[in-house]
Amino acid sequence: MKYLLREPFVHFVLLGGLLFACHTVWQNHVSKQDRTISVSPAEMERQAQIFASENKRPPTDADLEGLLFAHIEEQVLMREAKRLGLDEDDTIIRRRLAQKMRFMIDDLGAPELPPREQLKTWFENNPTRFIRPETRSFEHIYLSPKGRSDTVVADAKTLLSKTGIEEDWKSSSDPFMAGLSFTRLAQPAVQRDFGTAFATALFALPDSPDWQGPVNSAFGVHLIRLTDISAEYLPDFAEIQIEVETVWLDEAKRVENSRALKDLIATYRVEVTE
Amino acid sequence: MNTKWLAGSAIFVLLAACGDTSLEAPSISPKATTQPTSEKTAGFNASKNVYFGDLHIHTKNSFDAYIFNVRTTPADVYRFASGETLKHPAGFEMTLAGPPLDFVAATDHGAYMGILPAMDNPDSPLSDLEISKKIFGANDPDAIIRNFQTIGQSVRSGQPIDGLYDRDLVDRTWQDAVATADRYYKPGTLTTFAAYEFTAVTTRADSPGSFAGGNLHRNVVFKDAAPGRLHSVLESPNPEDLWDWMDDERKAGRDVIAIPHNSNVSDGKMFDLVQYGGGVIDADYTRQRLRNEPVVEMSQVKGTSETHPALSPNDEFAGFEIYDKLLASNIESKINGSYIREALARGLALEEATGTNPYAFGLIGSSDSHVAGGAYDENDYWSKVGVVDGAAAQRGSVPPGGAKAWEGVERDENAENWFSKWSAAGYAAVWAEENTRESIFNGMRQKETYATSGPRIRLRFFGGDMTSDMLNAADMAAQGYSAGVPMGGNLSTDVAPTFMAWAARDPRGAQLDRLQIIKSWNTADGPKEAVYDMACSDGASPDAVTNRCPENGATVDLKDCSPSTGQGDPELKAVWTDPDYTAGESAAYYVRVLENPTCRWSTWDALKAGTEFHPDLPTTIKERAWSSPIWTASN
Repeated sequence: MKYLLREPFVHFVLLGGLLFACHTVWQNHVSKQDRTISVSPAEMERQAQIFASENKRPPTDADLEGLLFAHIEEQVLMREAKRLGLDEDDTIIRRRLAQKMRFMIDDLGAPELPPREQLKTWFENNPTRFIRPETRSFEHIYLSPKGRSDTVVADAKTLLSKTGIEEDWKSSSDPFMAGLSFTRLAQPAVQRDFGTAFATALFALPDSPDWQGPVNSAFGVHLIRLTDISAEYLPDFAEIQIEVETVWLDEAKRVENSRALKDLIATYRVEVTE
Repeated sequence: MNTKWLAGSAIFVLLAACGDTSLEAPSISPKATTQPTSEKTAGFNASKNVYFGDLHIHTKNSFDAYIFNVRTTPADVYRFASGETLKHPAGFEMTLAGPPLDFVAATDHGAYMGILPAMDNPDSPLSDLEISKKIFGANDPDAIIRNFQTIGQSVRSGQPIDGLYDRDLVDRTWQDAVATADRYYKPGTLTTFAAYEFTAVTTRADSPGSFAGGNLHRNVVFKDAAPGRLHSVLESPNPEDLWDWMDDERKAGRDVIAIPHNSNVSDGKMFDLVQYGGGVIDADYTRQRLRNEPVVEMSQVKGTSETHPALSPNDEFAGFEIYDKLLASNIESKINGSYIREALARGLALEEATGTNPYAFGLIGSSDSHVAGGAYDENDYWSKVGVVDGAAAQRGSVPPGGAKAWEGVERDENAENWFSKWSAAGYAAVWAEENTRESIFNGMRQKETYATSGPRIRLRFFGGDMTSDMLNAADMAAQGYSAGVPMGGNLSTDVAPTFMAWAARDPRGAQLDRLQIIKSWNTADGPKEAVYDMACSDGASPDAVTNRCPENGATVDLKDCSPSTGQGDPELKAVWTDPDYTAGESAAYYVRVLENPTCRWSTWDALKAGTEFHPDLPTTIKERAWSSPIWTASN
């Protein structure tokens, strides 16, 4: 017996047998896993709830049996399909998986607002979104081309060279729909009221208390007197904290989403084949 | 089973609670964010400024937007209105071509608000429903549409689909929309309103089972504070029940108006002569309607509701961007009861019967965009729905399949009957002291509003003791206010009424062709109307017999859509007295101003694609603005 235990061939046979036994047990275990469909009470309740909401009544025992079989059938068919690799090239499955992932990424991007101080620092480092543009206040004398289309520019020049324009300047103007005096308009607002060419010209006028022009618009000819120029400025954080929060949230969410997606893409090598 | 059932319910509630994390954090109870203040914003003007906006825009939270791949949100509506760029579901970029809007509201359908995104979200329990799988887990477009239409049917019938109608989710989506509107409200710069669409549709007795019905849609717009729950057609599809709910809201301190739209496809129901259920219109009805619906949307993508050529045979400008197919069908909408000019006369008749004119409303335009941003410009048009009309061939402005000409090609039915007849979006214009919720909402209550077909034309209209010397006064508007009433007002008179109107072009648009005044009144023989030209361009005067201006001769070069030069005026103004006034009559008068012709969007589409123009579509249109009426009655 001692002899036999020392014999390498016997070792070989024993180890081989053990290996075979282990393999069989393992295989059995694995295929058992693969071929087990476990239905939890929670899953059945979920199915029952869906049934109830679609049929306006709780399921009977017969319904539950039907639900159970349908669930098992679905699981079996799904696993067999996966075994055959049918999920590899299916547009809907691909789309659903990508959609699911996208929702996950989007969810990541619902960030918490940072503490006030931190938000304030961010605001100070990102002033461009919050800068209030230059505004100009002005008065204008409008000369309609109606009845004087050939002489309107000459009329404006004559008016400008006249003395005494100051006292009663409004009576020299034709009525203008948007008004004759404007307070603190930014360029887009001037564009809306007078057109692009006029807005550009107005914001290029030198800072002077005198009447200037003539300047053309979509409506006719204007003489302009600047009454105020307010340079662009950055409002106090406290004044516009809600606006800053809104912009921060929008941006943080966008940044977070695209960063998460980019990180994922970076883990892949893309080859474009001919 | 019973205890297990309860346990299961608890699990389900938990599951529901952790679903839909894609929603932004819901606000628990929406609150007013603005305290009325005596402080004025920059731009305050006692003689009022005109503000341009859009009170009709959908996002992914609308069932009929999400299904067409729209993924933009209410926040995107406000960003687009401020001039930021959004992506259309078809992939291209959309940016407002003109200056930022002054006011705007996201108006998603109240019914199923936010439900479709949840059906498509694998983490939401709603995605487990059979209907969700059939819509979002299928490859067959016909099956998707068929199943999607069950939701449309539910909206139409007002019967919620059990299981799918997750009221908590609707509430949370709405509360989030209210909070978003509050967040983007910038007094003096951008006014936002909490709003949603009440999507009622009637059924046609003669076409059972068909989707066709009378469109009774309204947008419900809150002045400032909004409730935690909205009232949709799934509560009741009867607009009169909506008004009851709105009356209660107002009693609770939350002022609100409903703005009907697309009366053109209401199958004669929007301005009917009977109640929703067929009953006689009485004094309670007329008062309640007027209180709740001071403004009507007249111009939008799905056509213009001013009048129909069949109703207005003597108005040569009546056939403007007419769309008359009942929604999602090819059945023509009944004409009588569907158009605003006729409704003005009907309202006067109902006033005689009940003491109140239920159709004494002001006018606005809007877009009805379903992609979070309106296509207001003819030369940069993206229609309204999403992936089904984003490309020119889909909307019938260029031949399908890459063809260059129309001869012999098979036309797409939807493009032919629906999309190609649609129109670039309109604007809502409101005269108000300043750009705040308070001031703009009050402007709508007072009906000092007007509609445009897309250009930002400025339009003033006054009735009363107007004299022609006011036309040259530098403070013409202030004189107009002190000598009478502005658009939307009522005028008592025993003599022929006098009006003053003044229109100025959009600096980005075309020159003006003519200024018209339109009169609508009621007689024993039914509604009557008359169209008078008030002011002509190029120094011409209206003919004393025909009341018409001579043609100013403006044309468009269809090679590049450039306008001819030398015709039209930058502004038109006139004082006018009704030459055909009959003592004692009541009437509604409104002003219409017409631009010189410009290319229609379909012409721009074809030019850009290098194809033949669609042979059955107009190549040019005359864009326009319509004032709210002034009503006259004898003392």
